[in-house]
Amino acid sequence: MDQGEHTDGDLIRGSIDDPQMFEGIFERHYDRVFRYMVRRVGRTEGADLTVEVFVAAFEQRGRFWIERESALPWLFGIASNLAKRYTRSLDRRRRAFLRAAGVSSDLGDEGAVAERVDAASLVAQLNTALGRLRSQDREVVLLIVLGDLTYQETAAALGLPIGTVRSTFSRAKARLRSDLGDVGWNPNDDFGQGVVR
Amino acid sequence: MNNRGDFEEFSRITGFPTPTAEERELARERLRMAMADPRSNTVRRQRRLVPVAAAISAVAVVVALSMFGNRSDVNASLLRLVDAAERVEQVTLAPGQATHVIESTTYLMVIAGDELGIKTEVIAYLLPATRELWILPDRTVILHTTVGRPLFFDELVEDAYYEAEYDAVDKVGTTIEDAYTGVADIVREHDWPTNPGELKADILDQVRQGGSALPEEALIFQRVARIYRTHETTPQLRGALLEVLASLDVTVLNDPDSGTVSASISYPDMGGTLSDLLTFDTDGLLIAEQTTADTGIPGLGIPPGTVIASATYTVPETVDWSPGG
Repeated sequence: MDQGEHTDGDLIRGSIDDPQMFEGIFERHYDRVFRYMVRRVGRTEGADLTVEVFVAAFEQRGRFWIERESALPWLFGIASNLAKRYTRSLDRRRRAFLRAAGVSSDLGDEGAVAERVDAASLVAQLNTALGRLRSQDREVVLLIVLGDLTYQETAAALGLPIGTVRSTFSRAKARLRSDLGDVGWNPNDDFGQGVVR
Repeated sequence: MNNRGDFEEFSRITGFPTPTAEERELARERLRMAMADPRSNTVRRQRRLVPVAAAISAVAVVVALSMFGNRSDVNASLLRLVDAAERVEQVTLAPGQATHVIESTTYLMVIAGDELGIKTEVIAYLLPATRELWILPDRTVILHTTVGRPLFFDELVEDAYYEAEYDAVDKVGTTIEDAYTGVADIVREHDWPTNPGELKADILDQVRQGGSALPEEALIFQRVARIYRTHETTPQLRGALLEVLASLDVTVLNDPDSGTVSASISYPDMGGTLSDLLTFDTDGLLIAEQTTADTGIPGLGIPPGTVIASATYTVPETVDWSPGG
């Protein structure tokens, strides 16, 4: 079967009986999920977690509604959950380490996030600002900006109403603009005007 | 499409990681190992109970089916109704009489965002209406429809709706009077057999010709509903329709207080799972139905569990009718 002619739904449906067809999903979406994961948790961990996304998707493929054309929102939903789980677990380990070392661990999530990113100051500040957002707000921003998902795809990935995604992104954008406006990155008015497909 | 400005701005700051050939190959190999593992290859499909609809009468007992479950409980509930349905006296209208039914409905409206001057491609909202019907002996149908106030999933859409004065388009708050003569409907245009086996075969023939992608059992279920809601079925036909329902993979819910019986079926549609529910009274008459978006419809901003279509029906009664009154 020429996989190029088939939707993601076709490939997943076919993979129920012929597992090898699932590789088509990997070939189509691996790079994008990789980029998103590495941006969230770093290179080594990001590469590992990206594979886990596809393995989890393969194991759950019976629950994918094959009438959908694109598996991307579904994959990003899995990726978002794995990334959250990883950063929470990392933060717990970091707090335990700090407690053992007699250091105050009262840094909150933003401290853990900032520790994991590139040493560049702007990146650290960006991630600190992201870390100050509420968890759901952060997930919405990261999927749209890092994953380049539309509002519709983000809504599908997170299981949220599309109106909630739009208003959440708008609010988060305003917050980031306020936090980062003086560090050389100023989200302009076009930021986040993703038109729903 | 997406505005790539944000993505590119972010990339400028933090770089644009792409996998190396080695990383990609390693990932591919790990996925292949997982795919070859027999434990990963067990595809589990869960069957869910359909939740009871809040809009219909409370249900005390759920008779749930598993894939390999016992159909006798389902049969018992629906077959009891068959007997009751077939015993109802067939009404023949005399001149100056009409069959009178009141329907309360809510339907999902999907329109282009352009219609409201907003960028979203499609938007959805629920539009309630009350319909009062009189069906005359010569098959003329008199219809009075009063449109209610819409229900929105998004405040921004609601604001845009009224700003665009779309309530005038939907005729919210007005009563529209129509009269149809010589109307053909699904009951009149086809001679439906009252033998359940033949009826099911007939329905299956028709739905297969329709070319829909929905599962056949869901299509049969929907065709049964469509025939029922004309309010012009005979007792024998209603009995046969109930037997057809009993032969499907449905979930049945009984309300011991009111004696109503509901049958439900789930199917994939609109990017998720929908469930259709039909509720019958003790005489096997259809008194309510609804469609629920069990998993929501993210593309339309509809949350999981939302009822996207519903109707309640009064039991058809014979009334005196005269033009203008």
